[in-house]
Amino acid sequence: MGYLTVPQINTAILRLAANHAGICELIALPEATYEGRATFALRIGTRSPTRSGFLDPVRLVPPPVGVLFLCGVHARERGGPEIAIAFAADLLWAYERGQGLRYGGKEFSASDVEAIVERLNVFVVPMVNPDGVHHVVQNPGSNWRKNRNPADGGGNPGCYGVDINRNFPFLWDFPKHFAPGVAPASINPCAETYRGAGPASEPETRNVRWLLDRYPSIGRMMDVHSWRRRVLHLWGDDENQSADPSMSFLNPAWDGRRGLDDGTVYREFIPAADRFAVVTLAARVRDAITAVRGEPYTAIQSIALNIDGKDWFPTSGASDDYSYSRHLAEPGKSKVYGFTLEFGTEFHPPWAEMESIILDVNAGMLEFCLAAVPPADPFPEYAEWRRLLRWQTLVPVLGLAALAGGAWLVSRALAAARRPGA
Amino acid sequence: MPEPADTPDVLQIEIRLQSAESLRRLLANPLVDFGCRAATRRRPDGVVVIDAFIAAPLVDTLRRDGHEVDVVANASAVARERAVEVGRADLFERGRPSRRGLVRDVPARPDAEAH
Repeated sequence: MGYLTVPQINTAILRLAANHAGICELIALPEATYEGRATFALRIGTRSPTRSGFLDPVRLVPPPVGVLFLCGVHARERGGPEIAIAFAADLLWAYERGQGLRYGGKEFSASDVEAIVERLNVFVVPMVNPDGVHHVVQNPGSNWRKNRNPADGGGNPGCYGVDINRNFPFLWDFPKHFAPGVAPASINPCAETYRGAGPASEPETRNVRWLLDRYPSIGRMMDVHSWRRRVLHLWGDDENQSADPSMSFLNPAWDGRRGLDDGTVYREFIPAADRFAVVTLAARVRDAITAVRGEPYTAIQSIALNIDGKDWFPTSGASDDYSYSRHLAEPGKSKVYGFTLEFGTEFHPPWAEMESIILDVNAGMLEFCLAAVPPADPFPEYAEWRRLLRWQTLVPVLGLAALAGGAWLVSRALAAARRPGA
Repeated sequence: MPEPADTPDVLQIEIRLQSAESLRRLLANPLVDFGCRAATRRRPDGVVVIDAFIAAPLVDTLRRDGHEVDVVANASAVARERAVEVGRADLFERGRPSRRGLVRDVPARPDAEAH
């Protein structure tokens, strides 16, 4: 194998869905890209997603938790789609044979694989930005990152495109929300971090939003990028704090004061339990990746630089912050723990190295899934009652009761008919 | 769409950090590309640098602005060289089975049932 072209990536997605029908569903995302390309997702799982948080009416257990992986957002970060394809192929292969998976020094048992496929819905978007990936295949020296929307480029091909990972509706209007001089994105169409003409102005961004809206069971999201060998957790706009809920992206009183590097003016609120959850999960993914062949990944808050932890590079409009912010900004939306994984040490590694990176990242992705697997029975004390109340039990019992009742009524009628004088 | 022939190559560079103020100016420069998200690191020689990408003709502009810049590689040339590894084998093409990934399988438990 080698790096795949856009048609090859799409063929792989379609073949995986066709070859594993029943546990792998093809989802065509609703919007075509600027150049007219379709975008696909795969849903892996034996149980169908539900539109609500209600109990599964058949099994009387909570609905399957959704885990979403985004790959191929930034075109030049080669290997993202191949990581997604290999992950899906291996997971499906192992499940269908009742086997586990071993990635170097990291092993997942057959029970782990079974739990992931049977108790989760794993959504994988191998190539969020097919126009950009196609452009890089055609022009490998272009170092192209963004999509290919020419609208704001002023006719200059070098200034085409929007950075999809600065286009999500989270503090998108950064000149208003951040302190003067802070540049979490760019308003310059020629810049690599150009935010676009409006929040979610791009079809690629809206396709991701559609997935989150359509499948509210999604509770974890990982956006796979390169390169720095890092697992990044919330928040990306400023340092975290868990003491003051009013110091939040929702509060316009803090506009113009976010993103400074001293951490004393503004820090973004995250409840302590959520903070613990994301820090713990990022570390768990890091450890799984490192176990494969010892690659030194770090788990770190999205905003922090590696040297002395200063928060000098905030982001706005990024997918990880957006996915988590939704439940705070829009009541009724699900809470999604958002992460960004940055693999490798260069944008376009030699394929031999990319094969090793795929193993690293796939191990991290499986661990990410495993951490989301709900207990087989969240309420074991009621297991016996649930067993009795399942329709498979109730229908025969009620049927027998109805038959017995009918027989009793018939016998009563016959007895009355035989009674003298009747 | 092919790039125009005169599109300059992109260089991978390391910029030595001199002060908080110079870093702030760098981060605000739309022509300097810091990758997915910027990060500084300490080189083996102890110097703290930030990795970046920039169109080749702009390196001298950065230097004239007072930044100490080391060119690491011609990212465009590296990508062109590795393009031979793109699309050379499509194991998913029609009629062939889905490939497995690259991993080794763990033998099934004796009590495991295939699904």
